[in-house]
Amino acid sequence: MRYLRIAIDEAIKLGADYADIRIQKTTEEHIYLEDTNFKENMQAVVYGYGIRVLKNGAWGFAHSNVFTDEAVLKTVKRAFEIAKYSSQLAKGEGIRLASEKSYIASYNTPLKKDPFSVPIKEKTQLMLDISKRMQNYDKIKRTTVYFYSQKDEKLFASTLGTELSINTVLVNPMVSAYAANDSDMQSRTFDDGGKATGWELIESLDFTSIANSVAQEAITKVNAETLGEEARRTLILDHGHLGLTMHESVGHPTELDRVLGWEADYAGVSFATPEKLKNYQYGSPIVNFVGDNTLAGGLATAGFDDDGVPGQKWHIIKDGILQEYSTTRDTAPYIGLDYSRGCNRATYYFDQPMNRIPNLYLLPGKEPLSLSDMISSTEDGVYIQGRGSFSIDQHRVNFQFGGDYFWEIKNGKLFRPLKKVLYRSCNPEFWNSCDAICDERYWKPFGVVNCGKGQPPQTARMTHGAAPSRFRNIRVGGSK
Amino acid sequence: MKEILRKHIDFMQKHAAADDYEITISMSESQDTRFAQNSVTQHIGGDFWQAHYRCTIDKKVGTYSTTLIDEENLLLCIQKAEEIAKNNSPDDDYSPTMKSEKFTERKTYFPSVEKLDTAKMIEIIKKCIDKAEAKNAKVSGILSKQINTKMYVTKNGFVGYEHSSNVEISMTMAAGHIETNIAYGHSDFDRLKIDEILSQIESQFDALSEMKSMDFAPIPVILRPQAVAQLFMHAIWFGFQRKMADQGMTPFTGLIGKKCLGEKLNFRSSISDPDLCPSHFSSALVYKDIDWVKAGVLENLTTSRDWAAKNNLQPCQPYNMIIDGEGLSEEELMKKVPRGLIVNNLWYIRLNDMKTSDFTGMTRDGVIYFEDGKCKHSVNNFRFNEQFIDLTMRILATGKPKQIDSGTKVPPILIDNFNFVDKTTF
Repeated sequence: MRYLRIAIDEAIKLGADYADIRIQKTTEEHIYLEDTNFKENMQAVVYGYGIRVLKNGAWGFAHSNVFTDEAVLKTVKRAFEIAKYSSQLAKGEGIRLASEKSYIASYNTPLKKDPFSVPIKEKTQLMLDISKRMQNYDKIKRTTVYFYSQKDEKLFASTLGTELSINTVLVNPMVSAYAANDSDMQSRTFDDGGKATGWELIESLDFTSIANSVAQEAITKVNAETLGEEARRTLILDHGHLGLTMHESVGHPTELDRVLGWEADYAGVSFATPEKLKNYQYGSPIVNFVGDNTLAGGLATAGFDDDGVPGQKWHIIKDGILQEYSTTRDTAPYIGLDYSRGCNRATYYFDQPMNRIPNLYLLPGKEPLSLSDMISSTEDGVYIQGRGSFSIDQHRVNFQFGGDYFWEIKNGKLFRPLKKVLYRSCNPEFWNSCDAICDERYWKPFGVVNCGKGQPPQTARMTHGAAPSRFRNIRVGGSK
Repeated sequence: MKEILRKHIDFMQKHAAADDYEITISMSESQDTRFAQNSVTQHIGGDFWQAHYRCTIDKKVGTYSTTLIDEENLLLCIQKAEEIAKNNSPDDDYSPTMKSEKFTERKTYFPSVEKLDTAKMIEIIKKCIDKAEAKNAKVSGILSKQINTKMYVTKNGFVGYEHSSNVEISMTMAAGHIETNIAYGHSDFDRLKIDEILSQIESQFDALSEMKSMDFAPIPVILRPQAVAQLFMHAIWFGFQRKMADQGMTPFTGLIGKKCLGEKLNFRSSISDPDLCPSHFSSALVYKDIDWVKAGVLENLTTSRDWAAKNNLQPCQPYNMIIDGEGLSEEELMKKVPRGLIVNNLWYIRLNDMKTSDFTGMTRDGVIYFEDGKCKHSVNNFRFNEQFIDLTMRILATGKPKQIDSGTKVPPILIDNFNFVDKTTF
């Protein structure tokens, strides 16, 4: 598109040290069914461009959704002026960028069926079928089914000579049932957080089975007992639970912008400071975390980030030791690196990109170990599935998590269902207490589509993943 | 601007063919300057247009929105939404959009915000950085301004227009173990007293100089206004809804009209408060003064138009948050208990259990231990687990309400036996 060239030429003419333009069209579809009533069936298009200029060690970013030559030129000038003003407060050299090559490339999420090409009637009928199946159970008092699809079409150009065309698609189904008895109400949810793929994800899922199990487990849960007083116990956590735990306690603390204090006012900072690199025992020796923006189906997989840096795969924690951060071109130089790991992403065209968690996952155990073997070798503990309450301090040390479905383990067997279980732990206690991880047969991804960060706030998406893992001697109890 | 929006709305109405509909055209002009570690890290400026068309055909809903505001795309917006509606399945709870209704317009736009240019924004941030550097500290935060213009019409005759301004600053000053935040916002930049804000953060910062480790246990706390705002914002978000209560999902089931909360709690929304500059309307209702909790009696819960129509209720929503106070000073609040903690802010509040409104969260931005009516030293942060109704029963006293932003005015609140369950090392 000619606007790319107009913007870059103008930025060079004005004297920008670096500039890029990102033309981005985001199309979202939200279909929300509550019981048998469709409360929302919406498509939203957010289309425009953002121009980023670096001048004298400071950023200026301006955006517009007016597509004319004049508007593009005006937006470049505004970004340039903002950068000049910002540079009045630059310290030392100010912001510098890690080296990067130029690329002419394109990326498209591999898919078979565009979710936006599927007739609405087909989608709503499927959702109604799921809802009605759950409502066949007497104790189910409320059901919700939510299908979310998103398509991002981006064109990117920079003064490095990079020109990119990136098209990504994601699909995310969620199914919930709420069961009630005389004194309580509890819910159970199917939610794997979505995947970068097409409608074939929906077609691959057995929603009859999902609807039945969600409803049955909601009923089991509402009639379950609570755990009682807090005590040190063993936890076995499934992928759907660990996704959020690793997001909060590993993903965010290893974002370099947080480490540098750039998010100190809102999202917070990080305990995982640079002097800990290569020597800090973040987890036990079996704990290996990988950042991987090349992961097939990963929500952060897009070929390149919004700096024009290619997707990469690297160890963030290896054999329990903190190795590297997620980085961007403007954060990496602050710790002496001249390369970025490609983690700069913006939500919409009007957002300035920032350091984001990549696809980040816990590698499976190297020794053969099934979930049933893990449970049978656990004397006394709690098995948690799915995500629930989550809260962590602004340094990413102390945290408390709930879950969606719980079983007490006694003498190597699933003993009784539980509800309202909470556990409290901290870094580095938690990941160092990991003594077993199931093998690769049990590894599953878990998507996050609503990671909030930044001022003004942005929501990013990424995929986590894990095989069921065991943690010893954790404080586990229950809410009142 | 009003004429431009009217023209777009007229065009859309001319082509709208649904049984019922609502159209919103909005324009927002904003500038956000982020700073961190005594330097500017992000700086964003731009305009944002959006058209939103939500329609109903045979009780089937369809919605489409676009950021491209020209006749081709506005027409597409209508066609797409109506196509979605035709192919959707019904919402049996659907209730018609608002009819024509008069409302008293209040001043929501102040030219002082529009006059706040880039040079002035940088000058303000420099002042914050200078203050931090004078204390060998680092300051991080955001200064942002918005001018918003919105026109909203329904097929049933409602027409609303709003032109508003807003300016907000939030900053965290940190050095060593000390970190503390202040945030303030107003519709009028002339009411944003930077020197007073800097003086307050300096005072908070100095109060945290000596820190001692303290173990967790239930203890009286004085939640300062920012902490109170956080707590109640989340409480509303988590379960302050009539439909959920009526369906047995929250602790408020069957409690409307009953004294079920602490009698010192008075919580309301007001269109006429002189310090707050609220919007006049939403897609659900024209805002009117409303009590949510009066002397511990649960008067109302958020009620959607659909649920209100189905159950012969009035729709309502908390469009701003006012908690009335008894006017006690912080010193007077301290003297009400032998010892306790003053909490500047709360953070990461999340629901543990909806039915009991059991929630968790952490302290942030400074915790000060007091004894015998005097501040002694700062302490580490804590985690708490609480239940909302139970917590309000333990309100011992309240202070003088303070405006936090253009939609929030709350007092410091003294709560007995705040249920701390864990501590941090910082």
